Amino acid sequence: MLRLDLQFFAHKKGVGSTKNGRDSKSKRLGAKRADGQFVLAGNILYTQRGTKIHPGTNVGKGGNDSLFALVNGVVRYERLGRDKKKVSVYPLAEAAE
Amino acid sequence: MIKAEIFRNKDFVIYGFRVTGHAGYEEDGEDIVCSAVSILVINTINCIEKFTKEKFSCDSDEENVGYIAFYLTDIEHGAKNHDVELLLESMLYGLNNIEKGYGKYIKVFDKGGGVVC
Repeated sequence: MLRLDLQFFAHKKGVGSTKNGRDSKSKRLGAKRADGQFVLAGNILYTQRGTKIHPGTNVGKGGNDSLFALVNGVVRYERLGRDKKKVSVYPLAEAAE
Repeated sequence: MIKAEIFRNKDFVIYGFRVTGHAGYEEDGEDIVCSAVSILVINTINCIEKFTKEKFSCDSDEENVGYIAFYLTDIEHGAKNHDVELLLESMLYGLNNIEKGYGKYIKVFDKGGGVVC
C-alpha cells in the first residue's frame, strides 16, 4: 500500500539554501546473494523499494519489497519480459539440469 | 510539469501507467495541482491493491523526482478485469480534467479508449 502523500509530485526544493543539507541514512539496498550462489529457504536475496527486481520461481516478496528464498537452492537472476528482471531459486537437482 | 503516460494493450484496455515530474504550480505543501494528481494516482493504486485480486508491480521514487510506474502484467497480455479497468479509466478521467484546467502543469499521453459499460 503506497503512503498517501498529497505532495508526492510537488517540487521538494525550498526557497532558502538553509533548507538543504539533509539526507537520510543509506539503507544499503541491493543484491544480498549473487547469481549461482546456494541459499537456504528464508535467506534474503535482494532488498529494494518498489520492484526493481520481481520475485520469480520459489521467491517471495516481503512487506518492504525485499525478495527472499522459499526453498533451499541456487539463485538465478533472469529477464522478465522486455525490460524487467526477476530472481528465482532452483533446488539443486533442478539447477544441475 | 507532470507527465502521465498511459499504456494500453491491443484491446485498448489500460494495463499500466507511468507518472513522472513535478507540477511546479507552487512550492511543496501548497501545490494544489500536485496534490490532485497525487490523490488520484496513489488512491487508484491502493484501491486496486485493496479491492481487487489483480497482480501488479509498482515502482515509486518520491525523493529524487516524483515517479510512479504501475503495471498489471496479466492485463498487459489480454486478461480482463472490469473493476480494475473502471478504476484506471476514472483515474484517467480525473487527470484529463486536471489537464484541461491546468495544462501548463500536467500533460497526459494516452492513445484513447474508454470503458465499455
